[in-house]
Amino acid sequence: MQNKIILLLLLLATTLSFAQGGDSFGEPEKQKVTLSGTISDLKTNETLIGVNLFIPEIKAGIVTNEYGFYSLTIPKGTYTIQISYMGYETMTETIELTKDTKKNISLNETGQALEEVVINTEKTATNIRKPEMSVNRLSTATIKKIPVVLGEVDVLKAILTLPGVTNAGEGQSGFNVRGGGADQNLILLDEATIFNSSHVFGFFSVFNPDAIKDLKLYKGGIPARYGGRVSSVLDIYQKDGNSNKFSMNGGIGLISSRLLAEGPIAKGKGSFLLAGRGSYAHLFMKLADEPNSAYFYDLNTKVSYKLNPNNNLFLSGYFGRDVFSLNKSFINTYGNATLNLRWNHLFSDKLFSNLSTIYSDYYYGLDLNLLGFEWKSGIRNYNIKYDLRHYVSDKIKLNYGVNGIYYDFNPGVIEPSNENSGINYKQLEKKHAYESAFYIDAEQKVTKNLTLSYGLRFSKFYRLGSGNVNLYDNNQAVVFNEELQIYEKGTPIGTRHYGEEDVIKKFANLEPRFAASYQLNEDQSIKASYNRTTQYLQLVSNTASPTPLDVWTPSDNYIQPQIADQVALGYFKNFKDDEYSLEVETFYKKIKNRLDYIDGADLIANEALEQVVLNGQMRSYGLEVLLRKNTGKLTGWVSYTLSKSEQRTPGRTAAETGINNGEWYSSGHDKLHNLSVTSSYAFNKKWTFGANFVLQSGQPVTYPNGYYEYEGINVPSYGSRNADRLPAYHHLDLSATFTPKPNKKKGYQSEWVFSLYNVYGRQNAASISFGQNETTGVNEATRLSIFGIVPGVSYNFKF
Amino acid sequence: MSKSFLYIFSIIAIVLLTLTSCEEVVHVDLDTAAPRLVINGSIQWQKGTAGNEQKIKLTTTTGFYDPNIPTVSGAVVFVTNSDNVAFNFTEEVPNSGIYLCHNFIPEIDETYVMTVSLNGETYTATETLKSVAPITHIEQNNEGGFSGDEIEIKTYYNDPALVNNYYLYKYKASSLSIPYFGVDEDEFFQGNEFFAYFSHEDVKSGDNLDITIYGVSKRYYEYMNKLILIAEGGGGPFSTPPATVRGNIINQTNQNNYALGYFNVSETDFRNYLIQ
Repeated sequence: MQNKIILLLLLLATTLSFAQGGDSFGEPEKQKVTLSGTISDLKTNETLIGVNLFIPEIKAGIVTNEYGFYSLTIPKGTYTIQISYMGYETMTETIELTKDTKKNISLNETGQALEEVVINTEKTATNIRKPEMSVNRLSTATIKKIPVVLGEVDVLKAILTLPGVTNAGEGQSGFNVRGGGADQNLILLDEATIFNSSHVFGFFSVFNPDAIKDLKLYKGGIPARYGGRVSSVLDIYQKDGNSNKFSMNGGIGLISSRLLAEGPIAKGKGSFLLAGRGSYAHLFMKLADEPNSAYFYDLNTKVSYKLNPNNNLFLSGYFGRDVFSLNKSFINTYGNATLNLRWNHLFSDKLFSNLSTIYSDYYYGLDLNLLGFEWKSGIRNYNIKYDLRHYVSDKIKLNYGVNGIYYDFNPGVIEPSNENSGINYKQLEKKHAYESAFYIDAEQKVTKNLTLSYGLRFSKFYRLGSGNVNLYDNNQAVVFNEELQIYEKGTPIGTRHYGEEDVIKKFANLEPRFAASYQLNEDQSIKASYNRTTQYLQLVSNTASPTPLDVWTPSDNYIQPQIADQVALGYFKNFKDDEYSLEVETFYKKIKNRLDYIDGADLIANEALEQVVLNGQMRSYGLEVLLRKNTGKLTGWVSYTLSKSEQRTPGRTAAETGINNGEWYSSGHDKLHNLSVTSSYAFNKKWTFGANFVLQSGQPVTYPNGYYEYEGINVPSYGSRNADRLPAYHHLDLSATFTPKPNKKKGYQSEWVFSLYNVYGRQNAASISFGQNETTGVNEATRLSIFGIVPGVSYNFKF
Repeated sequence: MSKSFLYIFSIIAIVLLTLTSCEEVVHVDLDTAAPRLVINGSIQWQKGTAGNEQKIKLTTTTGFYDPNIPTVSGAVVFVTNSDNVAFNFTEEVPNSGIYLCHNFIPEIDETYVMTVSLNGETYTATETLKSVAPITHIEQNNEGGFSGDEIEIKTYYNDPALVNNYYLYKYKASSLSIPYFGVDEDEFFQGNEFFAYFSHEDVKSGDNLDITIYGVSKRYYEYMNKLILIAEGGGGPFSTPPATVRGNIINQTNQNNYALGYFNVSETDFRNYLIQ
């Protein structure tokens, strides 16, 4: 089976290659030439991702890839090339192409000391034409302008301002894309998988904004080169470092401070970047003399080296930890680490390749002196990836590649922490798995107005030995007790041992991807996409959002891989000379094998997770509107999403009730309405103001419909799951950036950022809980609000 | 053990949240479902007693804000053992909903069936009486809890090896209006000396603390585990969506008209501890 599929993929690749040959039959071959090169920042030499290069005479365009590379094959001739990029001065140049030409281009940044004030005209011509849809890009400069709680610039908070993106609530980590679970997002930092994107239980994200060059969020129409998660891809690229001169920048804030150093190495043949960020140890702690602390830090590094014009090497790494300690009776440490070596090789000016070898891990440790034990768990993976970009002609581009990932899961080891401890040592059984994929993706300009993108990903997953697998009656690890009408853990009737050489279970899936764009005229287009994605790793968590105590587990005999199908349809328009742009999209997504948990499932330190989970379904659908103002003193965007996200776990047989009586219920992050307004106003050279406003439907919750007494305590009783909603959630935030010496372009430059989160002090409910007052014993509802008005100030500098 | 984990995790979350957040009692308009029968059948055999005196309480659910719990009278309640000996429970004080028995015979590992007949419907539940390890000693630490200044009480016992034991702990402090419960299973301390852990910021020196340890079945352990989470305020930011907790009581006449509550039989050990 798998050989046939590889054959099929190869066949497809060859056919497409021939197709391009045939494409040029009409005109003599020799008349075509290739223009290629890299586009970078003039000052820092940092390569730029997603720069538009457009030739109006023949309406041909190309966008630079993740390494700033572009290649365009067109007939000989004299052309005007327009190069435009958000935040940079648009460049127009006339070029005479008589032979294959290599042209490296440097762009000059617009704007001021630390960030551009005006989001410059982004020539959206390519946007309109490219079949790529359901994708949002944000540059660090844009992210830095959004006012945030405590003045800490945050990548994840920024993407929450985009349509189709929400999170479960304040202080909850992760994000939800088009109704999907937070575990369904593939988060890549320089291609390495990040398993937990949050610091301090979701108050901050692990991404240091200073070290980040660019991010791209795929909400749908996910290209075939990505796989492994069903809902979205958040692709984040770190800066390479300034290869022209040594420079530093940093910031001092209320919560954390940052410092970044970058500069050339080996006489400009390479560059390095080193960035660190740390919070203050008594974060959130009211009294500094308490023996408690909570802090986080992270370190980003990158070294790039140009071997010769056709070969580049990149070594990048990330290390981050959160440490939370209470009275020495409790110490909690967790975080991600990644290391990645990449090699860019140009086979020709039309064929770009990248080989990546990636290591990433996630660690979670708990030292509970109080109860006398330590707990350690984690996941490691070793990833090798080979990707090729083939710029076949101006009509066809191909992406193809292979990918293999080996996973080691440590579900947990428990160790007594002192001699008097009553705890026995126990290592929960480690799990191993291997995931591989082949893919091919083509982008083809079919006619002047129609562009298609189609591809196929073939993924396989092997749950590997060694290991023991529990066996159950009727293969059912969860048993339905018909008399009591409840789900209970099954009792294994035996176990089967698998040796190191054995494959416990394997899965294979074909994941077709398709997108089409039809350009109605210069400024308008409609686009459609379909994608199937598969997810073999499951996050086992019974809360609405990921907690640091994330238990990732591979698919196996009982836990099936999640499979999602999504269709989306969109309308895109630029108007008033590209001053404004409008994007409207609708989507429908359904996901098979979404895990749901039986009531009272204990997920921590559970060796037989299959006994507490059922395979359910998920569906979501909605309408997204994004209106952006791209130019002028006032810039920003308004995004609105009307959507529904639901889950259902029906009984496996007619006699079973399923979860919530087998009926659809709103998922915990469902937001019917979600409005977000983000704006920035350049008042003068010294002052820039920012404002954002968020208005959302309250989070779905379950309220009690009565209570009773049992053994002297009051116990609420409940009706349908998530049938109620918390009150509407809204807040307005303001920020002001003051640049004391805006005309200073060299030497020491600085700025102050003042922010005010939740200006009118809305007490948004993070939760409402129902219980007995501890003193009076009377039933009451308690609302928890996390943030009132939160002022913030930070000072940023560079030299 | 994993319960302790969960407990601790929610504590961290709460500590973190409370440091930046504010809690406020609010009024939420709530619907009230039709009343449902609740059977509180907790048979407890304190070590060293005959265990003849037992009670079962019948009530119904009511509106969340209603301070009065409706009692249920007129039911026929009895418990039988495996020899089919019936122990009758009768409501001696009219309208109290409390059904008393004076001749119950407890026996370790004996299986009992409770039967309740009410309004033409019959409810039954089956449970086995589980033994419990005796309390060996109690330790007090005044610099305990997560804040380091709470009184913490560790009640020690020796977990019997080779068998899986499930525990229910009940703490009632004289200064607190409601009892606190905890559950444990011996997965991680099989055969070792272990302890029931209690701390509360409002407990102070001079308080009387009633400590009860129950030996319970796995099913009752699972039930109480869910019940405790729900009673401690379901709907917290890190909790599962709360749902009504079903016990072991089956309506033999009409399955849909199920009763809440549980029929449990446990050996218990009890200490009254004067907090120093």
